[in-house]
Amino acid sequence: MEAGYLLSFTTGLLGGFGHCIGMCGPVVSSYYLYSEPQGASPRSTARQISSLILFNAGRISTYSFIGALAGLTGSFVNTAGRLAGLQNIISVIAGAFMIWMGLGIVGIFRTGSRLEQRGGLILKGVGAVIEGEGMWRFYPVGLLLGLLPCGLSYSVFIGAAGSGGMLQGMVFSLLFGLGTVPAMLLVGSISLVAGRKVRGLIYRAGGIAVIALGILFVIRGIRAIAAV
Amino acid sequence: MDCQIDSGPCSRAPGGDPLTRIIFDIKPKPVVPMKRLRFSVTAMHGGKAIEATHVSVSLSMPGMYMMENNIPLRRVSDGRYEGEGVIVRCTSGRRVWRADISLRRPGEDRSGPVASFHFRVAP
Repeated sequence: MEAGYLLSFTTGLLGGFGHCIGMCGPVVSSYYLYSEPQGASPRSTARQISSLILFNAGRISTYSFIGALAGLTGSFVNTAGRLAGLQNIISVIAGAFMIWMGLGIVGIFRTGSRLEQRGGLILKGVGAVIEGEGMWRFYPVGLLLGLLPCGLSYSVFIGAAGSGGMLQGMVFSLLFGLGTVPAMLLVGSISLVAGRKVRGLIYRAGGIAVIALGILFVIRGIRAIAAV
Repeated sequence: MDCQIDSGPCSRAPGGDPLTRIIFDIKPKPVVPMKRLRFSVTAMHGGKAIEATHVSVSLSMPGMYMMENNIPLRRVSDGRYEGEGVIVRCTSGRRVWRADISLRRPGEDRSGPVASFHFRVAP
C-alpha cells in the first residue's frame, strides 16, 4: 500500500499544477479577490498565510472524509452515487457565489452585509462567510469546495475504495489533498497579491471573468444534475 | 477517436500483426460515466486464444491529468478476460478516454501494453 500512498501524493502534486489550477483555481481566485477588495487595507502576511492554510485544511478534510467513506464501503460507485447529487448542487451553488462575488468585484454590489442584516441562521452564516472579516471562514469554504465534482478527485476516490479499509482510504485521500497544496497555495497567493496590487480596469476585468466562470460552473452543475 | 464503443466491440491487430487480435468491449451500453461497468478483452493469435497470467485495462483521459485508473481483468474463458470498473465524469465536459490494454504471458516478468483504444462515453 505504501506505493499506493506515494502514487496518491504524487497525483496530487502533479495534478495540482496540471489539473486543479485550471479547474478549481477560478473559484479560489474569485474568493480571495473578493475577500481582499480594491482599496482595502491589506491583511498581514501571517493572516494571509493562515487563511490559505485554513482553506486548504477544509478542502483536505472533505477529501479525507470521502476517502474514508469509499474505503469503508469498498465501493467508489456506492460512495459517489450518494454524493454525486450533492456535488452537482455544490457546483451550482459555487457558480452562483462566483457570479455574486464577480458582481461585487466589478462594483455592482456587495451584498453580504445585507444578508446578515436580514436575519435567519443560514443567511447570517452565508453572509458571515462571504462578507465576514474572521479568518475561520476560510475553513468552511474549503470544506464546501472540496465537494466540487472533479474527475481527478473521483479517480483518487476509486483508489481509496480499493485501499482495503476506512483508515487506509482516508490516508490515501489525505495524501492526495496534501499533494495539491503547493499548487493551491500558489493560486491563493497570486490572487491575494492581485487583490491588493491590481487596480482599475484589470481588477474589474477579473470580476467579469469570475462572473463568466460562475455561469460556466452553474451550467456544468445543471448539466450533471440533468444527466444523473 | 478510433473506437465506437457504443456500437460494439473494438478490435486491434497489435504491431500490425494480422494474426493477432485484441478485442475490447465495455457493457452495458451506452457506456456512461459514474456507473459500474464490465470491461472485457479477448486476445487471439492465429484463431487461438492467448493465455495470459495478468490482463488489465488502464484508463486515462487525453489532455487532462487524472490518476491512473487500472482495472484488473480475470480469465472467464479461453482468451477472454473480464473485470468491473468505473469511468469517472470530467466536469470540463471532456468525454474521450483512452484504454491501454496490458497483458503478461506465462514466463514474462511484467505486463506490457499491447493495444490502445480511444472512445467516447455518453454525457
